[in-house]
Amino acid sequence: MDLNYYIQYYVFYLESKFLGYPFIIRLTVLLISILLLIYFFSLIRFLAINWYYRVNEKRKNRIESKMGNRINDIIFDPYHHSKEEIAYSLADSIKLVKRRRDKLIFTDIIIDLLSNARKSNQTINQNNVQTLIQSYGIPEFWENELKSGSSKKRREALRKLDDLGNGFTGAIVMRSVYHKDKGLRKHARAAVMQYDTNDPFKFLEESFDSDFNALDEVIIHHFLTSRSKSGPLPMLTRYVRNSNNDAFKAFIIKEIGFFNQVDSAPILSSMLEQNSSNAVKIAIIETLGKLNYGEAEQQLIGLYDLTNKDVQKSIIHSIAQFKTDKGLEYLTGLYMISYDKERKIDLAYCIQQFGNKGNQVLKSFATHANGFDKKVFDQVTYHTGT
Amino acid sequence: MHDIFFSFYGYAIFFYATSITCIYLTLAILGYFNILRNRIRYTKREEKMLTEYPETAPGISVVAPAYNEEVIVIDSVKSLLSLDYPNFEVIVVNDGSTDDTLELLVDNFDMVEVPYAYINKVSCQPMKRVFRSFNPKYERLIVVDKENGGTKADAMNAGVNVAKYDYFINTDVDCFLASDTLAKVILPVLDSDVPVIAVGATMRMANGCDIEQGVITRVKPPKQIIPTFQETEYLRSYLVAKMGWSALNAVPNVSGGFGLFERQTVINCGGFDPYSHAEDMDMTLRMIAYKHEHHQPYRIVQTPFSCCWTEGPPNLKVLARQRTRWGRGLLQIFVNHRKFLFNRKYGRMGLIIMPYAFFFELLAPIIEISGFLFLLFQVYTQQINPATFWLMLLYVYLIGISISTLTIMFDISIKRQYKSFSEYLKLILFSSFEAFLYHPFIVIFSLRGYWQFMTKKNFKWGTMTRQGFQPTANSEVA
Repeated sequence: MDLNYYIQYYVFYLESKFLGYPFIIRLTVLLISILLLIYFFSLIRFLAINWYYRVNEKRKNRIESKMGNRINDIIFDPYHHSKEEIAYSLADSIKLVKRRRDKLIFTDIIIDLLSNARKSNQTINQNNVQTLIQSYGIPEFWENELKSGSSKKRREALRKLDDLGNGFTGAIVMRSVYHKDKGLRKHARAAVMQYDTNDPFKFLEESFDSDFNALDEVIIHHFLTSRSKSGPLPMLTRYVRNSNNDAFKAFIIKEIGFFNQVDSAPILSSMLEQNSSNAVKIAIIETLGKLNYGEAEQQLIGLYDLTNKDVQKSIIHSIAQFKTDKGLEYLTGLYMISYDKERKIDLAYCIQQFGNKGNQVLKSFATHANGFDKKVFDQVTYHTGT
Repeated sequence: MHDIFFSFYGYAIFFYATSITCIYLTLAILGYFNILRNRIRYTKREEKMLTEYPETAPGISVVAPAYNEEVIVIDSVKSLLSLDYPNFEVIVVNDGSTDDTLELLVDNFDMVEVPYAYINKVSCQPMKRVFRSFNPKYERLIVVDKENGGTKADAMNAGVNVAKYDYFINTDVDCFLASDTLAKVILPVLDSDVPVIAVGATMRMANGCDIEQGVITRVKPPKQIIPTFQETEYLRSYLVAKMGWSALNAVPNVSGGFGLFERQTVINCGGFDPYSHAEDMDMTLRMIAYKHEHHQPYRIVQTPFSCCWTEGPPNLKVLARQRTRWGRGLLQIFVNHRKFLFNRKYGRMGLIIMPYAFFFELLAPIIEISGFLFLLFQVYTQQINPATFWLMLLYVYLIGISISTLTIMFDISIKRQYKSFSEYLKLILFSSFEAFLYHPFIVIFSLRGYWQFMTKKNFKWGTMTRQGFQPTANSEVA
């Protein structure tokens, strides 16, 4: 029977039953009907979700019990298994991983195994992992999901393929790099950096995305790090120059420091005066410190009095990394004239980084100091064990 | 005249209940889509990236005040230290405990007093000492010993003064956090174009859970009656109300049991108010006001994931203390922050959050009790129409039960916390009786809180009976 028929029947029934009643009562009947629908919908959905979990759990247990040990043996075996060998040893279980749901579960089992192995520092035979997942058509399955119309499925596919360490072709990812779902779009753009062989850094040229945030930084950092394992990265300063987005610029500058692109230091130093954004300035100053570009010290000292507290803080920390006598003298002078308690603690830790000379300075402070300064000295010396 | 008044009052009660229903259904729809969005955006993959690349993970200070918490403090600190996140510190503030809380901490975690240049950025009772562990295993732990301030807010302020990271978690020592909590609450902060000043997460009852060495090994619904009711109540509040409000950037309150706050904004607002009976809501409102007054964009986010388990009131006596205090706190909020109400200058807070809280939280117990008395009067004077009366009763009953069932469905769709189906059924069963066996007490205790506030009675910080999570432990603490 048609559901619409039943719905219509009961709507008309309720309407006729309460026809002569006041408006309030009829409204109440309507509201009760809505609440009852919500109640039963929630109950049915609750039961359905619970059933889904149970079925998944059962399937997972079945796959693990029948294949778990053999998968383990293959993954951790230093000997490279061929596709035929794996197909032979798992011949009886191929049918267990045929349906979509089974492939999802199988993927999760493999990812968990890889993740646990990495945590316990076990050596994985990546070659066998790839052969194993190919035997079950897992990469093809996820690549098909990447072509799906659902952005949720595409995003999940990107994550799973990345987790499996499977080098899928850049062309498939390219389908998602202009998607209207910004989460998917940004994830795909970041993945291009690792998997595309044609123009992997295309989106860094375009400031990555108009909507750039700190989570994108984490994802890009992940793919840049993975990419850097297979060869040196290009000079990242060019992407800083081309961008108009300050958050993106600041991020790329920090990455220059992380990947230790020392040759970029003079260029960054020249950018310092040109940028008005504090976030970019802080990133440049911190990176100059990280790259130990002592030539910029005088420039940083000159900048100190002209900038805000956050930039000043980064200047102090960078000067401490250069570890020059001039820097020590400057920081000592700053400590003497500083009235900001937090800044004093910062300065003391920075002075301490100069080693013996720094400790001498702190000791001389301590002998004349009382109250807060004494506590700062005690804290720094205790903390650093000097 | 009487007839007109009674008729008007009857209609007013009906439309009040209908407004609550409509608001809750709207919040449920918004909350549902917000939950879906969170599930798609933030997965284990993103959490793992933060752990794999510590240089990208912002530091977080976990601040947990403790006053006479000897029964649970060790388990709790172990739980906090076992969090799976690369950059965090745990600050336990011993708020002048008179029991062995401090001694237990010092002995169990190999702590020694260390020199510390303390800065009073936000006001609190004097700090006496700072302890750190000489055992590298506990290097993340800092214990601050201070003079008793009488309130959690005062102790929190001491923790904020010591915290070194830009974000801090406000929690209680009786709370147990899931190991992936910090990654879960920082992801929405990272994934925002606008500065996020606070993040709330779902809290649940720890009463029935299996806990070993401060870590929850199996999540179960509480065995006792009151915490079971409270479990559903909490889920309703977090997964429907706050998730819905979060979609509108109008979260009225980041819970005092668990919440992530941006440290600098808290300091700029003067820290937690030690004289507030609802320091969490007070802090949230002041942070919003600060951002509006300084024309700075902000977001307050609620994440649907269960991150924190707390020991709920095991009996009516403790529940009464808790809810009376909440009642006092709510009324105090409206007395202290009345200038926000209907004030356009404060944006959503003035025009949505405060009016909603005023009409549907503050006035709710008053309207409910007066409605009940009105009903009794009508029964007594035989003005009830039996042909339609059952409809009204059914309507009121269905409001509660349908939203509760919807909430439980939301919860299982996020993650199946309980292993067995029967444990979820227990929650559904209990929610069927909530309207008769639990809710009336909440109304009475809230009204008592209002009365105490108005008569300035019993302003002592509410006491909580800690049962602890070791089989033998049981003591009464303040």
